[in-house]
This record gives sequence, C-alpha cells and structure tokens, in this order.
Amino acid sequence: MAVGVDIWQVKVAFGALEVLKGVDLNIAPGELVTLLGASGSGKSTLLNVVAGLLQADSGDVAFDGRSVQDLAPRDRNIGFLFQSYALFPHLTVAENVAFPLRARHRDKKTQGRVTQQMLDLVHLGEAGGRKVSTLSGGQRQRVALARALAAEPAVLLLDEPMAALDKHLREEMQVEVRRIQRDVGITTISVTHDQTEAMTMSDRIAILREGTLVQVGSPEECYMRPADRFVATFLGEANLVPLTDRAGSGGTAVVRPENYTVETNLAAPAGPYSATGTVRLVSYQGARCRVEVTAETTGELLVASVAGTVDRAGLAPGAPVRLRCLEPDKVHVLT
Amino acid sequence: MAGADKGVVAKAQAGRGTVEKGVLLLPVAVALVAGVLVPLVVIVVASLQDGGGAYRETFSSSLFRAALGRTWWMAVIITLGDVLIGTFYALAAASARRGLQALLLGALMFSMWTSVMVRSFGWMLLELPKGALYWLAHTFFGRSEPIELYQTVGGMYPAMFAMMLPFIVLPVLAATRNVDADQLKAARTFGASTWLTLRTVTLPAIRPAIVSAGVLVFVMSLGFYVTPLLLGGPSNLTVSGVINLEMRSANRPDLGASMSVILTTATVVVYLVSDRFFRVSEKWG
Repeated sequence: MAVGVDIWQVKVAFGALEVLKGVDLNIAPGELVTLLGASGSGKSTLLNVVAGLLQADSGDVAFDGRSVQDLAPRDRNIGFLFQSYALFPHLTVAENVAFPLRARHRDKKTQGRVTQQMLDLVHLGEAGGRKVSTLSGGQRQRVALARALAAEPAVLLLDEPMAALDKHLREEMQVEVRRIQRDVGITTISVTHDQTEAMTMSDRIAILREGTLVQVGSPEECYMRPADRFVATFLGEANLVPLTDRAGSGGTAVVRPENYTVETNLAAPAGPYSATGTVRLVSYQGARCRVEVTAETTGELLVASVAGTVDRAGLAPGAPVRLRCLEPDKVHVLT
Repeated sequence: MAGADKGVVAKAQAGRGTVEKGVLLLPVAVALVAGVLVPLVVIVVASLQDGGGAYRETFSSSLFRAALGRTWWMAVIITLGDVLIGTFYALAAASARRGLQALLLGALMFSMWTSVMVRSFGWMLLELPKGALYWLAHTFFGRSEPIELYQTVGGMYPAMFAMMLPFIVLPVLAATRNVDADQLKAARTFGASTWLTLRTVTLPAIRPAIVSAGVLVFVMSLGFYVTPLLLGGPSNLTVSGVINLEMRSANRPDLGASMSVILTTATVVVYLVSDRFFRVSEKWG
C-alpha cells in the first residue's frame, strides 16, 4: 500500500544560484521524514521537485521504484498540504475535501462516502456543510489535511504545515497530524524550519544547509550525535567545548545545556567537560531555569539548563560557579 | 486596540489636519461644483421650464422611445458580449507566453490610446458600402454587390464591442494575476483539469472584477455618442444622438434637457441597483 520515495542526486539551480546541490534521500514506505533547514536551505525546493511543481535540472525522483520525473503533478498521485491551506473559499468543507475525487472523476456515491470518512478522520464529521470562512485556523488545517488524503495519495507532502497556527494549536496539531499519518500509514515528507516540530513529528529528520543534506537520522540521533557544529547548534542549544587539553586530539565536545548542572561549591573536584566561570544571566522559565555563564578560561558563553526548582540564591550575576557535566558518556565529540 | 490607536493618531493630527484638508479639497470642490453641479442644475431647470410638459412630450415621442430601446439593447448586448470576449481575452493574456502576452496587451493599449473619433472613422472606412470589408469580400470571394452595414444598427455593434473591450480586459486581467497561486497549485496537484480549475478557482476569484467591469461598460455604453452616431447613422440614433438633435438642430433645448435628465437618472439607477447586488463600489475603492 504505502510506497517508498527515492530521491537521487537532485540538482536545481535558479540562474547562477545553486539551490540543491545533489541531494540523495531514501524514504521508507509509511515513514514520515522532515526536511529541516533555515530559509534558503532548499527544503521547499526539494518538496516542489517531489510534487512535480518544479522540474529538477538533473537527478531523479522515484515512487515505489518507478521514476516520476516525467509525470505531471496530477499524475504523481500526491496529497499536498499547503502552508496557506489553499482551501477553495467558495466551496463548502465537504466540497473542498471531495475536490481531488471530483478531479479524478470518481462517482458521486464514492465522493460522498470517502469525504465523510476523511472528515471523521480529522474529527470534523459534522462540519461538511459549513463554509470555509466560518472555520478556525486549526479546523482549516484539518480540512486541508482531509482534502490532501481524500484521493488515497501514494505520498503526502506537508509544506510548513504548522506555520500559520499559534503556539498551542501548533503543538496540538503536530501530535494530531502524526496520529493521522500513522493511522493512514502514508509515506510523508514534511518541510519546516521549526526544530521542535521536526523532533515531535518525524521518524527521521533530514537537515539541509545551503542545498546539501548535512545529516539524516532519527530525532534522537540528530540531537545526541550531531554530524557537525551546524547541526549541533541548529537542532537545540549546544555548548561547544574545545578539547585543547587532550594531548594531540583536538576536537569539540557538544554538551547540551540540560547535561550541565551549576555548582557554587568550587572546592569540589571537577569532572570531565566541566568548566568554571561567572554567572552572567539567570532566566527563570518555569519548568527550567537557564543559567548563562562566562567561561573563565576562554571567555566564551556557556549555557546550563537546570530544573526550575533550583536554589537561585547563590546565582547572582558575577557569582563564581562551576558547570559540572551530569552524564559525560552522553557528550558527543566532534573531530 | 485598533480603535485606541486610531484615536491617538487622530488627536496628533487634529491641530493641523483640518486647515490642510480644507485647502487640498478646495480645487476638487470647485471642479465638482463648476463641472458637475452647475450644468446639472441648468439642465434640470431647463427641463422643467414649462412645468413638466417637456417630460410628457419626451415620453410620447416615438423618436425618443425608439432611441431609448436601441440604446438599452445596445448597452445590454455590448456588455454581455464584451464580458464574455473580454474575460477570455484576459485569461488568454494571463496564461500566454511573454511575446504573445505583449502582443495581446499592446494591441489593446494601442487602440485605447487612439482617439475614439479616429477609431470610429476607421470602422467607417471598413463598413462603407464599398469600403475595406467590401474590398476584401470582392477580392477573395468575388462579391459584387455593396455591403449594407454602414449606418445600420448592426454597423454600430462591432465598433462598440471594440471600444469597450479594454474596460473589461484590463481589470479582469489584473484580478486574474491576483488569483491565489497556492490554490492554483493545489488544483494542479489534486489532478484537476484546466476546465475544473477555471471553474472552481479562477472564475470565482475574478467574478467581482468581471461584474464591476461589466457595470462600468454598461453605464458607459448608455451614454456613448460618437461611435453610434457615426456608424448607426441619422435614422438609428441612440439617446445621446437624439439629445444632440433636440438641443441643436430642432431647437428644442427643453426636450434635450428632459432626455438628458432621464438618461442620467437611468444610469444612476442602474449603478445603484448593481451596487446593491454586486457591491461594485467596493471594487472601485
């Protein structure tokens, strides 16, 4: 049922600007892969190439092992969820959802049955007769998702699916979209610049930088073992500690802020990756408390994220502290 | 919150705003009074000189009634025809490649920039019994009898279609270019044919522009003078032609005035009614 997607050496240039510099990516059937990158990284371009809305200069895209490079978007059997949702404003909710079926000339009975199935799937079973303009942002997204899935597409493409939602709704819909994607079991490619969204929703994350894939892996792999400094700092916060004291080895340790604890007792013995310095800023964030420390040796800024319940009495700006690494074996070293 | 902001802005500007606004509005007010209000009052007064007798005579005049019917049907047919042709013209121009698009728009703009008089004479040269059309028919099809189009009701129509076409094409083209690109992409990816996309995305989106352009063309056609007069001829006068006749040749300014008032009122009524139904004024800003 679900098909795999193979992207092979895809290159796209707009004039002299190389937007994609030969991207390889294999997506397993039923998998949700997120293309994560800053604006201009080429992630949307890659999605448009898969959709057929943009022709690659070279390379190939295959669904289920068959090249779709020469197929028009309508012949690729894709479901597309647009950032703006792109719902048709003068059609009802049900007519919007039925649109892909109508475009493919399914009979009226099938259209009605599938539309109701899809609306039930996104928990909008009662809203079929409503006008799109009366829906909230979250409801519109559900309708757009139902429409994208209506014609049983081989591949679902999500273009910045959460960008138009406020924070609470975004978190809710990330879980909801993931649930629906799993229920349907459809191979999905999502595009986002939001690393939390990528972590929450994906089986694997593909991180793009300036037209090149820098790392592909599960959220945990990418977070715990980033391929380079860019990934380490792009995906969450990271303290990049140079390992100059190790004879000859060099390298940089990636210590996540939550892997540091702050100690005011400098007499205690130091552990690996620990550092001393003075407190610069303490920001209380409720569940967590963020402590910025100016390192004594390098003068660089180090960040620790400790439990919000920490005693902040000894952490006034300027106070001498030590950052101790809690789990040295979880520290990833870049060479 | 928006309301509060507005209040602050209004207060800040209150000191100097009123005087400057008055000065800026003065030329407009003068132009409005001198160019619209005064002539309108003069016409209304002239039409009422003998206590409404001119109106009774106007309505019983078979010349006027025939002209009114002719004008009305011309405006209706020109509007419907141009809405149809103009919409397709605009859609073609919007989707054409650059060269063809430049040609389509260039032809339109060029004809718009040419005087109505000149273009009407151009149509006359085409339509004359032994004019350009006859020459074509004679040369290629061996036609020997002259063409009877000039100074008939039918003779007005092709020229009027051409005169009014740009007023449909330009606003509809602008609206076509503003159609949401994501919606078009969505229709494409979901497998919609060109026709389905046109029906479900493009046409609904450009409908307000089509309607307001249609009303504009209808209103303009009601009062058009030169083209119907030149190509329809003296026996097929439209209302504006009859007004000219009464005012100047027949020496009956009271009749001309009452006809003008009737034409103006009819035009305003058409505008108000269409605005009520289609909210045309919102499109015109």
